Amino acid sequence: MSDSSKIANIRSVFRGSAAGALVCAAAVVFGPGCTGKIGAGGGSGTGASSGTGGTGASTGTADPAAAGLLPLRRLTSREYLNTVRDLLSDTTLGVADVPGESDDLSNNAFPFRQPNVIGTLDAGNLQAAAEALATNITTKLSTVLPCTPANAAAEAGCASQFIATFGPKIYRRPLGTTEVSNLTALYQTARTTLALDFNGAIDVLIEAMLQSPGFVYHWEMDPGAAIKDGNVVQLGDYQIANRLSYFLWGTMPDAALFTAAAGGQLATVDGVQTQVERMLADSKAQDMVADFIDDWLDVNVISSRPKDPTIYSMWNQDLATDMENEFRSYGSGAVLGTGLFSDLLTGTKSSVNQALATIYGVTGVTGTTPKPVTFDSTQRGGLLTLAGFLTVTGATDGSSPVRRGHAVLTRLLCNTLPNPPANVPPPQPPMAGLTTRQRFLAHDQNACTGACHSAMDPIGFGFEHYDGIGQYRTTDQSLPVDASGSIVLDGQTQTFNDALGLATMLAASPQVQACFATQWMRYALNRWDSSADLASIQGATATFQADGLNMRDLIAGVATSRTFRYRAPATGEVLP
Amino acid sequence: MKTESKYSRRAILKRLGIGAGFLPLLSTDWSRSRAASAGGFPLRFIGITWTDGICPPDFYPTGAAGPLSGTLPFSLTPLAAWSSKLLLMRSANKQQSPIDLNVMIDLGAPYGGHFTYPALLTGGVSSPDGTDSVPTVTATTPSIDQLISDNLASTAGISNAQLNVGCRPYATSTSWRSSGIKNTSQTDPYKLFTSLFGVTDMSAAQLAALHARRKSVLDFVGGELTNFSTNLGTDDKVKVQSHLDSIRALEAQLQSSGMSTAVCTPPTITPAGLNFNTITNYPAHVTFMSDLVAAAVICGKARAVTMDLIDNGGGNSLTFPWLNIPSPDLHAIAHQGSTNYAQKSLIDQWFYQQCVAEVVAKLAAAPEGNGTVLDNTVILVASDMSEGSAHYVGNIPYVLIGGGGGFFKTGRLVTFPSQVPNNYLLTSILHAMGMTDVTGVGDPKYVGNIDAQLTT
Repeated sequence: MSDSSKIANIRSVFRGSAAGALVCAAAVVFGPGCTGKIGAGGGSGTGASSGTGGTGASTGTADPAAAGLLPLRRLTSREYLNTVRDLLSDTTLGVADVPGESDDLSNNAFPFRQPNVIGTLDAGNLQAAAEALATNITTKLSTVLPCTPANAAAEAGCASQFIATFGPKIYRRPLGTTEVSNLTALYQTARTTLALDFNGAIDVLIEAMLQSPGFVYHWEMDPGAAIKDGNVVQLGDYQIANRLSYFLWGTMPDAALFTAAAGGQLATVDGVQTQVERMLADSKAQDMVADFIDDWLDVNVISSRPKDPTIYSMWNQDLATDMENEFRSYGSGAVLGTGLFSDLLTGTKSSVNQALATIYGVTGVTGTTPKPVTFDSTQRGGLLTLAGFLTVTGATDGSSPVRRGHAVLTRLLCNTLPNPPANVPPPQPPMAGLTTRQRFLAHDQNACTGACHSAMDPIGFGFEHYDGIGQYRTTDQSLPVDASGSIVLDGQTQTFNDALGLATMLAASPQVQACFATQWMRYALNRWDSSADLASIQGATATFQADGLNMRDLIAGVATSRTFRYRAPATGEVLP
Repeated sequence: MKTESKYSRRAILKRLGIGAGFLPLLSTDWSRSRAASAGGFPLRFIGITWTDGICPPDFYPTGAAGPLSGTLPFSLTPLAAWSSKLLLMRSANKQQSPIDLNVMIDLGAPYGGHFTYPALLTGGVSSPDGTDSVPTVTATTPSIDQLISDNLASTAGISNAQLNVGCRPYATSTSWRSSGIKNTSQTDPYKLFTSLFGVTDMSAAQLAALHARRKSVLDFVGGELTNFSTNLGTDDKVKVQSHLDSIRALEAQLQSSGMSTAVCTPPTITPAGLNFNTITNYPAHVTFMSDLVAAAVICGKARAVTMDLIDNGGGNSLTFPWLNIPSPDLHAIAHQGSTNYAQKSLIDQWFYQQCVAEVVAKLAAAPEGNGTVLDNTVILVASDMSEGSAHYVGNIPYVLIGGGGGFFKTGRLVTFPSQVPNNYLLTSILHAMGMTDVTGVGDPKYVGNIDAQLTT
């Protein structure tokens, strides 16, 4: 079967519209006619991107010559902090000090964080952050200055050298002549109108550049005319260098990437591939992969999830942090370790500290520092059985088949589900003598709720061995746990005995593999996929599947794809 | 090519978004600016919103339209001391039915309450012409706090009237700069305190030097943004324009700084360093923000305010252990509908006490002329649906508090014999704010107002 026919088959599993994280949570119910689809995104067929979601889909005919749009976006908070770390050796700021981004959990929401448009509060944060960073650099200006003026007459020349050397670093590309002249004019203003000395004027330049679009936005255009290729435009070397760097490292290009860009070495697939292999071997890639894993399954919101202290007395912020750290570490370890997709979804090796070991029922671990452990393979295996995922998708007072099933459907199968209808009855609250499964099974008998829950709940039942914070259990309300369930994968209904069986099925499913590739593409592009991205997604999926399901190869496939290296011009855009 | 002056009325009107007054050195006192109130005092708007609806029997007053008499419904009892300042609204025919349409979001749109949250103060949400069952959660028009702020900027030169804050705010927002562009809320009370009431030990000369430096930098950044946007596509130009508007807002704040003569007492927000992800700190979070909002209004540091409470995106977000409700979460309780009105009403009442009454009490205790600041303020309290179990977008539980400088006739229950879009209410609030030439807010198919019902 060709890749395109596989995708077509996958799409036939669910049809309909809309997406969804779990707005209706424990009582979420989907009425008759509940449908969904895979590969859905917020973009239109032209590759549009929406920061707030949408209902478009990467449907249509895969065109190998096509590429999606490159919507303007600013640095995310993570990217900002990483960039000033590498640019200025400054780690004094925190996420709350710079413009943030939303990770919307509501229906139709993009799976990953997307930066919002700069508003006044954000502009104020950029201003305050720039002033703080400029203040910090005053005591170590020599680290960014290429010269030390011997006398007053040499100061203007040194300022020009500074603009010529520091400018391309902070803007992450060569400067245009107008930019140079404007910066030079600002230096003069600082010396005259503001009456600052040489160092003070340099400080003003840094402060201004940190707020300028050259630093704030991802629009690292190469000088010269656009390279057109049919209806799309090839990204320049500096754009590729930046796209690679922010995708694989979450920060600015290093010297080697800048050198490769200056040497025109990033215009080919081979040139990009060489850099990808180098970059994935760098420790900075670990954070990138961990961010993907964290955002993909929404474990990044774990610290704000309340749990009933009368049921989970051990729940606190420290434990939430431990869970998130383990989740991130496990994910990055699997992707950058063996790279095998099966290890991500079924592996049993992790690292936990004493508090988390208690949750897992693992003995012999003491202290706050994580220690390597191997889980009981009859109880846990893979990312979906880690406490972080199970806690975020658990209810405040117990498990939640709906939330867990919904997460699998939307994040691993890329299905989308419509909003729940009005007038929906909730499941019964927890009560003695009735397991969670029994309560939700009864709930599903309701005609209003049955249609979509028939897709979600049988998946979620697979996680019934785990309570609201991921502790393994064999009984629920003093009754034996029944964690059997079913799932429609690749057009076939398959049954499983528990989450371990489910995870094995997911890892082997072409549908899940294709969805995983789609999620990586969305993450790399920071936008929904569109029909223009379809050939690139199929290509990355094929690379992934042809090479033993190695996730590093998948990442490389995304980075070398057409839609990563080319773009469609935007409506109204004037190409140079 | 003719360019538009950065500070022209037209340029500001085009989209002057004024965010939180976060720069401690740049506070402004509008008592010296032209006020829009009949009595010569500033008019203010505060929108307080949360999610998951109400319990109709504990929210809507029984009885006929007219003066409020007797005991308020259970959820509203924290406001009993200010009954004379309340305007309650209800369907005329069925007093408590959750399916009667009253002041509503958008009749005919087939979607649930959660997705109408952006419409609460905008009257326009990306409801896909009544055919798409799943709209995006995006407003299509500016919210009234933005419109009020824009108007103050253009008519009175007041440049930082807007303040948007949140406590675990929804992923979406009630405050929107324009279609698809929401205003960012400040969620950190400590930062908000510093921005509103922070003090400096700088000398006048040092302050002047700082302002001069900031002006030079902002001028440079504004120029760079303008150049940057030249060749961008249409959608990207909109993003850069928003950024540019924000830079101009910062510049305008610089121009208006140093005018503060207001006499007021900043609130005390202690202890410091609370982790607001911890659920047990949520009451303190709400109180801090409420006190800061009240103080910002009283001290002349904000005149168009929104306060978003609760992020229930995905549910599982908020429990109430201090009310002896450690589980389930608010969303789940709301879904239980009439089977669990007991807990839901208790929670509703808590919000009215912890947040609404906290703000009202402080405004009512601040003398202004022959009355109080509350008399010259309009507080609009709302949730995004009626009863939570139904996700119903009719009977939206709006509560109006304060007279808006005598515009609204308060102390009453007003009933409506037929359906009324919330756009009419929003338009009437703008009229109360002195924007009497406004004919409609939000979706243009809902042009109109309910001045007659609310003012006479």
